[in-house]
Amino acid sequence: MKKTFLAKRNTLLTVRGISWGMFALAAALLLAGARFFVPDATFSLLAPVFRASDSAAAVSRGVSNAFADSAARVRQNEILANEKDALAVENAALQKQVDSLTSLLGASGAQKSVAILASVAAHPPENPYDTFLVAAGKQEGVMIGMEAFGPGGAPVGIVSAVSASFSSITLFSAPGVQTRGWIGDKNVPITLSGAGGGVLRAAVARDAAVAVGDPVFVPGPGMLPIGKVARVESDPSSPNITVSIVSATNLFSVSIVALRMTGIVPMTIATSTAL
Amino acid sequence: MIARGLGVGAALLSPLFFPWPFVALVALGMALFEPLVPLATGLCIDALYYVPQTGWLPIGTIAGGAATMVAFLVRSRLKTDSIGE
Repeated sequence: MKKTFLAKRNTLLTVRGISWGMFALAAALLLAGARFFVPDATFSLLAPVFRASDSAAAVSRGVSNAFADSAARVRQNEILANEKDALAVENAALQKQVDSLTSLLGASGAQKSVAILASVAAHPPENPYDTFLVAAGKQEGVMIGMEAFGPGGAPVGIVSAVSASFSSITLFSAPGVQTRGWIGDKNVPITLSGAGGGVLRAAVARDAAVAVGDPVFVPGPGMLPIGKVARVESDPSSPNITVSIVSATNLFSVSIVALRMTGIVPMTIATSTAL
Repeated sequence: MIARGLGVGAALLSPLFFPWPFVALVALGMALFEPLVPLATGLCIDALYYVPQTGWLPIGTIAGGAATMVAFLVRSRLKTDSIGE
C-alpha cells in the first residue's frame, strides 16, 4: 500500500522559505533605518569598525611595502626626511616674515578662530561620495559651514550636516561642488569643480601658461594651498585648457581634521541641520 | 548553503573595509547566486555614507537595484530556457 507522506506544516513561515538574499535585504533596510532615525547611535557603534578598517588598510600597505626594494625605501626615506626638515625651516622663516609684517603694519593679525579637532571615522575610497564622517558634532561645537583643514592646514571641505556627536564634511573634490580659487604663480582666478575621487578640475585660459606642478589656492582666510596641477589637457579647438588638480592632503588616509569657522562657502554646496 | 550565507555576509560587510569598486565586484559576483545581494549592498553603502543634504542621488541603491533587476531577468531567462533540457 502506497503511503502518502504529509510534510510537516507550520503556521509560521519556515526559515527555508526565506533566501539569503532576503535576509541581506532585511539587514540592509534595518541598517538604513537605524542610520537615518538614530544616526548618532548607529555611527557610535560603527566607529570602531571604521577604525579597524583603517588599521587593516595600514597593515596591508605595510605588507605590500615589505616586498619593495628595501634599499630604495631607505634612500627614499632619507630624501623625504631631508625635504621635511628643509620645509620646516622654510615654514618657520615664512611665519617669521608674516609676524614681522603684521607687527610692522600695526594690524592685530589674523586671529585664528578656535579650531575643533575631529577624528575622521569614514573617508574615501570606502566612501564613494567624497565626504568625511567625523566624530565631532554639536556637542563639541561643530556648526554647519565650518571649514575643514587637513594636516598642514590645507582646506579639504565644508561641514554640510551635523548631529549631536557626528558630522559630515563635503569635500571640495565632491562632484557638483564648485569653489573659487587661484592657480599658479600669477594667481590666475579659476573656478574649481569637484570631479570625485579627490580630484578637482578647472578650465583655464590657454595663455595663462599653467604647467604640471603649479600650486592651486583657495580663500580661507588669505590664500591657502589646496593642491597642485597633476595633469593638463589641451584641446586645440578650445581657447581653454582643462587642468586636473590633486589635493594637497591625502584624502584616503587622513585621520584628523581641524574644523574652523572661516566664513568661506563654496559656490555650490547644500547644507542642512540633520545628518 | 553555508557558503552562500558567508558570501552574502561578506558582500554586506565589504563596504566597511574595501573601496567601492571592489564592493561592487563582490556584489555582482554574488548576484549570480542571490539576486537581491546587489540591492542590499547598495543600500548598505548608502546607509553608511550617503548624505541626503548634498542633493546627490543615492547611487549605491540605484545601481544595486539595477543590478538586481538584471540578475532576476537573467535568472528568469535561464529557468525558462528550454535548451539543454
